[in-house]
This record gives sequence, structure tokens and C-alpha cells, in this order.
Amino acid sequence: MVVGTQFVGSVASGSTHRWFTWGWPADWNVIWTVLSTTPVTGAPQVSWDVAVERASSTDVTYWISIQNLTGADANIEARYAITNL
Amino acid sequence: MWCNTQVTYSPSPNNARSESELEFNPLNALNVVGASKRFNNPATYDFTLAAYFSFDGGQGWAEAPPFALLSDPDPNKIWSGVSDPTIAWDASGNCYLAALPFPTPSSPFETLGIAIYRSTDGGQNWSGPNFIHASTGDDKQWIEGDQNPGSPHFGHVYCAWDNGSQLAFARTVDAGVTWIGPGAQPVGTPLAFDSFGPSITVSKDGGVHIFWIAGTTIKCVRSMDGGATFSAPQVVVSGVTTLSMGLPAPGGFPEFPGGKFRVLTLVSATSAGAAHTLVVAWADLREGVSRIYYRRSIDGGVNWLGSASGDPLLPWYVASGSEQQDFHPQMDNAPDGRFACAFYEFGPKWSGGPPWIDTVIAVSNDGGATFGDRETVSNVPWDPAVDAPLSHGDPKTTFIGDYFGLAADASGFVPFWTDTRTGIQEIFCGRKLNIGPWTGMQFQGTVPASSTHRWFTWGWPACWHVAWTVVPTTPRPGAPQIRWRVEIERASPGNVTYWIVIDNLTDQDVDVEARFAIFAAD
Repeated sequence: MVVGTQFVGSVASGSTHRWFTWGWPADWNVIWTVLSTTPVTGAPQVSWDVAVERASSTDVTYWISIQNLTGADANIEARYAITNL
Repeated sequence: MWCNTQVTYSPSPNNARSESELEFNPLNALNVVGASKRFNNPATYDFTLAAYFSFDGGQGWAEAPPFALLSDPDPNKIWSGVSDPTIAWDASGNCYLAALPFPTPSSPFETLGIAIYRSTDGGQNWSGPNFIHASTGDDKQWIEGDQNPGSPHFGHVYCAWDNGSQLAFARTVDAGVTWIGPGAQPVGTPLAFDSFGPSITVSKDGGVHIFWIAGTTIKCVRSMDGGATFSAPQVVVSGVTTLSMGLPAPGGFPEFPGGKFRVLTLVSATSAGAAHTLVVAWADLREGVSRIYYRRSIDGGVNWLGSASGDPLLPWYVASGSEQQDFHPQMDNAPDGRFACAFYEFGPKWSGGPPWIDTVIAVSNDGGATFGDRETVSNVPWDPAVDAPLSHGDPKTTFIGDYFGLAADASGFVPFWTDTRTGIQEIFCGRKLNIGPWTGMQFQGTVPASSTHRWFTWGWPACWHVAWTVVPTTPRPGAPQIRWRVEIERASPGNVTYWIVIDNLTDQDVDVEARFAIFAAD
């Protein structure tokens, strides 16, 4: 198991922002999670979707779409876990 | 892999923070206190210090009320702020912050003396300043407590600083009620006359070891009687190439190529073990780029091992790339006897990239003989040009702090550094993560036919890497029954709440089970 943080960023209020990260070996089992790093109590702040592109015979590109569910900008952190390493 | 926790949430980029320090309460491992500069106007170098405290081991933080400042009959000596944070604990759970008051920019003086603030409640509130020494030559103080129960001087707190080029000294043996110098001499009595940037460490036998830069040497004085008397200064390293010796200094302070922030060679020392091992480290320019060098004694400072000019801290197999500059070493030791050196690494983080900074730690598992266990603490590198105050208001030089914090408790080392990933100079701390997985079932429930139901589960440490899955437990072959998504709320600086939203895709109620997998935890 290998875990890490791939990127940090900010998502504007009420919007969705999409990041991509490329060159991931296709035989890695990768799970993506997203964390809000801006404390706001009382309701969910962000949700995310992961889309995958088979960029070559060996590599994949992950597209991480992060939706800000609130009326304020939110800082985020995108984390990965490679479960078969 | 390290968890990075944001310690400060500044309301404005004007509140840039840097030059941090961190110490654990020896009586309560969950209580840790930090401090840093907190700017009001980065363009004019207008700042004072702020203190931070945690009672959950550093997962969640709060900022203490502002430090009180003193007036003075002399308008040139009215305190504008305090600087150069350094923290120590005594044996009774009192926390001390030694600070350097300074006047308004219109004053002819840059500093005013040494002040001690004391907290008796774990860093939540601080006393008014105890102005223990008045001199406009005072600068670069360091404070350290004797936290060794076996020491005959357990609980003493020692402070050393530069008064001009004098190595000034003070100590308290009564929990901060009074401060005295060596023997019966007054506070500030000099121990040497060529001091720059002292660092104190206290060995398990109660030995007080004070190191400082003296030209191209590093010197040390030692007290074995609780600071009553000190040895004559001893040269422990010779042939140091300080950053001031080889770097351009367009504003008076050295700057790295490609950088605009000021850097200095300051010593950082620590000690551990029954053999009273001492390690002193510094940034050295002898290789043409800045590298961390160190020297070690395994007999309480009587003899020093290795080259007289010191040796590279990092063995070749974990050395930084030739385009990287290693600087600001911070030494500490853990209760299990391990040593660590945290430092900044400045340079491009990918080919052709801009020069940014990673916070790095190198751990020694062999009593300081080698530091081959290197890891990058910062999850993302940070740009030192972002939100950087102007050093003394000089547009030629910016400020990211002349040092940062490193502390340790039984669970490991905790760097405490400046970071601009949010667009503001903030303070972050790091803890090493343990790799799982740990799995379990968090809740069960029922989602009515053709509807959506949302559950939440709170109090999950933000450092933990957690993934969620949901499965139906009501058998119904032939078609999908549910789908789910996870929404997340950062409920506090240290904790998150997960909201699990489950859609029932069928026209019948479905029982479900929500499962978690914790991939890493601190």
C-alpha cells in the first residue's frame, strides 16, 4: 500500500473544477479521495467523481472532478491510495 | 508519507506567518505549544508573535490571545511587537516563551531586550512580559528546559542570546518567579564574547550545552552544575563556510540564487541517550550549494567525532540534487533515542520548474552516527515568493523565517513549518502516517424504494486516508440496487464528517451496509 497527496487546490463556490493527473501505470489499483481543507461546520462541502482515460497501453490518466457544494470557496486536497503496491 | 495539518487559518494575506517553534508538554503528550511571527503589514515588516496550542497531539489547533506589550517612558523604547519565538517547558507544566521586544520603526533601536512570557494552562493564556534584560544589543535568544527526571537540575529553564557579540545567559530555578545569571551574577552576564545565534541543549545528566557560530567556527560552553558555572568556550567545529560567506546579499542578508528570501547559518543542537550524545548541525556552503553539516560527541561534549570541520548530514544515497539548497536545519531527539534533522530544500521540484521549498526530515536510528532515513514531509512543495513579507521593509529581500520548528513525542517527530500552499504564508505541522489498511463496517440502514437517503459519520481525523463503499444486504438478482457518493465536510481543522448519500435504484426497500477502509492513519 502506498498513499499520498497528489495535488491541492481551490474550488470556487457552487462550481465544479476538474483536474487531471497522467502517467499512472495501468496495473496499479488506485483509489482517489478528496478532502476539504477549509473548515466549515454544518453541511457537506465537496464531493468528487473520478473518470479514467487509457492514455496508452501502459498508462492511464485520472480526471478528478470536484464539486463545491457550498456558497464559499473551498480549498481541497486530492489523495491517492495504491492498494496493490 | 506524512500527514500535513494546517495550524493557522489567517483572515488575510497580511497575516503572513513564519519563523516558528514547537515544544511538547513533558507532563501531557497531547499538549503541544507552538509560536511564530504573525504579520500585520508584510510590506513594512510590521509583526508580533502569536502562540498556538493543541490538546490532541497536534490534530487541532487554536491561537492564544495576543501577547501583551510594554510601554516605556522613553518613546523610543515603547514596544511595537516581539520577535524571535523560542519555547521551553519546566518540570511543573509551565510553558515559557522567550521573546525579543522591539520598538516602532521610527526608533533608532532595532531591539530592546529579552522578555519571558509564561503560560500555566498549556499555552491557552500567557502572562504579561517579564522583561528580564534590557539592552538594545539583544537578539537571537534561545530557551531550553531540563526535562530529564534523573537530572539534579530537573525543571531548570535556561536562556541564552546575543547581546551584541556577547553570549548572554539567564536561568530560572523557581518556575519563572525569578531569573538569574550564572552563579549569583545578574541576568545577561556574558559567557563568551564572539557569539552569533546560540542554541541550547540539555543532556540527560543535566549538562547545559550552549553552541554558537563564531566566525568560521562553532563553539560551545558547558555547565554541569545547573548553570551556576560554565566551562571556557571550546571550539567544536572549525572551517565552517557560512551562508554569509559565499552568497550575494543585495539587501544585507544572504540570498540563494533564484531566491529572494534571506538565509543565515545558525546552529541547531540536541542531545539524547545515557551516553549524553550531542549533535550540532548547521547550513554550510563549502560545496558551492548549501548542505547540512553536523558533528557529534558521544561523551557529553568532551570529545567530538569525525572531521574537525564536520561531515555532511545526509549520506550520498539520500543527498539532495545538485540544483537544490538545503538550509535551516532543526535538530531534535525522540524519547526512544532517535535523532532527527528537519530542513528546507529549495530548488526546482521538476525539470525546468520554479524553485520551491520542500520540508524534509532525516532521521538517525543509530545514535546520530548516520542520518540515512530521509523523507519529504510536505505533501506539496511551496513557493517562498508567495505572500512573503519584505525583510525590514526592504524590497530587495523577503522573509520566510530564519528557522522553523521541530519537536518530538513518543509517537515521533513533528515538524512545524511555514507553507504557502493556500496562497497565504501559514504554519503547518506534520506527522508520519502508518500504513493500513484497517477496514470495518460503520453503519447499516434501509433506503426506501426509489429514494435517496443520506447518513453522516463525524469525528474522523483529517489525517486519515479513508475510502467508503456501500453494499446492499437485501438480495435481489438481475439489476443494480444502489449507488452511492461521498460528500465531505471539514468540520474542524483536525476532523472531518463524511456524508454518505445512497440512492435506491429499485422499487423496493433495500437494506445497506456502509464500509470504510482506512488506508493510512497517524
